[in-house]
Amino acid sequence: MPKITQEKKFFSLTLITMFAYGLLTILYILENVRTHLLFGFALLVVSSVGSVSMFRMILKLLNEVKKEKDTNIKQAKELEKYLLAVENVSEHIVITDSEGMILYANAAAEKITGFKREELIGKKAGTKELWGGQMKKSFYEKLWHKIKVEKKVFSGEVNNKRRNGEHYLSLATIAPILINDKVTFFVGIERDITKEREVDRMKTEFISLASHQLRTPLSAMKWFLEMLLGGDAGVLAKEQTEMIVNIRDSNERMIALVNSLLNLSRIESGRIIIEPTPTNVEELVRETLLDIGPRLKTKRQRLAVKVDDNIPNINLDPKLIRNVLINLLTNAVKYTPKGGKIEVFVLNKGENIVFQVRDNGYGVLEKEKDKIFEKLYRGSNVVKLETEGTGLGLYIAKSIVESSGGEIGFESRENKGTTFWFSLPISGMKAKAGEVTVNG
Amino acid sequence: MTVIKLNCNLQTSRLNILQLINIINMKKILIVEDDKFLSSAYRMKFKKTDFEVKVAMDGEEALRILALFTPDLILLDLVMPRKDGFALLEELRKNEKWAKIPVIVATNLEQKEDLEKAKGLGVTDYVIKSNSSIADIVAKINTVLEK
Repeated sequence: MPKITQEKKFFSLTLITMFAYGLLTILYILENVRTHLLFGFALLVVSSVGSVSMFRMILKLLNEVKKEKDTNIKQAKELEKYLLAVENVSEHIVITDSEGMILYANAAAEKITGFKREELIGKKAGTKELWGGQMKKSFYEKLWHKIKVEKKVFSGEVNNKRRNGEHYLSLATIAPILINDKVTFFVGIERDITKEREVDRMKTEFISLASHQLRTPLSAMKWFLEMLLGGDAGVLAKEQTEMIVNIRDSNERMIALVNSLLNLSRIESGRIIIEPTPTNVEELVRETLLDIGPRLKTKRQRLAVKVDDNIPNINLDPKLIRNVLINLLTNAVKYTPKGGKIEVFVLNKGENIVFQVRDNGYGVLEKEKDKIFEKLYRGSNVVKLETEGTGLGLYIAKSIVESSGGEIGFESRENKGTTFWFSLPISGMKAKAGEVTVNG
Repeated sequence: MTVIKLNCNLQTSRLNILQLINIINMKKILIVEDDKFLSSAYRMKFKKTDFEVKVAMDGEEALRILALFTPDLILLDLVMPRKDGFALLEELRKNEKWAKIPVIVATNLEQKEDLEKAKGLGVTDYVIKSNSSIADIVAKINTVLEK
């Protein structure tokens, strides 16, 4: 039986009992009770049932009250848990009414802004009176429009000022809380990212310094060796030339290593610029192959190129994709014996464009296939054959392709050859702001 | 014997005049580079060319040289002690006498902001030293001077 109906039944029985008692009393006064003994007895039975029912109802009510109390305690405890969490997180959290007046501020808000809670409550968030007002007026107008009119979440970096006048940078998210589609509260969460930015700046400075300091002596070596080999200091004997060629090649390796390390740190720090521009893929491939030409010639390797006819100009960053192609091509040349064959394919696969670099070289060992894209990893079968190599090329290529929305992979059989491929969406790469680009 | 000697003298003096004409027509280059090995490489390379070259170790020395020597081109490093390449470029651009001298920056800095800053100061070319051969730099200088 449904709970309410049962309660109603107990309630009616109680009313009947009370009514019966009343009637009995009136009869007792007005008439001789004995003549109505039977009726009285009947009433007594009814009233007893009623009393039991009432007693049961009271018990039930008491039980429900207890249950409700338990639920309330549980809910209060739950609420306390959330309150404690909001109160103690390291992010500055502020809840305001629909006009931006602060209703609540957590401990981190006090710590970050330097204002006491009593100074914050009831005042408008994001104004000069408190920690805000450091950005242009138009910035706050746009922000307010987004959260109040568009009813959307704002997320972005904001310059703020602590109570002691110190400026700081925070990453803020302000969300409108809607009840029946009406903005009722705003919840603002801010993280002080001043220190993170400082570390970023120091890292950038370090990279800049390292790039300069490491490259300067390498440049001097490069130029003197070039002049020596060019006969600027007189004709060299055959053996002298051989030795100097070795020094020059080692120096070039060192330059390549510095460049790779710099590229790596730029990619990993997310500071790399992606500047897509409509690019003729065939031209890009052929230009890249020109750079590989001398190495191919040295190893007397044959080259075949096949580019599908129906490839449109694609919006890609030629500098980045060239870097990937150079990495794959130099690997193919390096890890294929003299007289081997290198093939390059560019295929139109509908949504993607696929670049393939195929060789008939040493291949990748089965057990090492899942490690080949790892940073600094070099295949154990080729390390002894080719000392030149940093173990960074494929890692960088993978990072570039993946950050361009593409995929990279390979198929290989030991001593039969390898095909490295990477795909790029035909819709092109997405532009990304940054500070640096890769170098060749 | 006397006649022969006279002829020899005449020939010598004719050569001297030709050399003098050459010297007068020689293109003048100011190299500003603080690294002693790199500046020595420049000196050795340019000895074999028809340029009149002066080398400054920093921006301040470059300004002292510029007071007496107006080059046809400046080859400029960026990171230098005392007055760096950017500061020198700013001074060059402010001074009417030097504002139009073409400048090729030869540096190992390659951050976008450095490159853009240099471009903003009107440099003709920007070369990354470790990625270029010295012959490339000479070729770039020749191209700019021929214009």
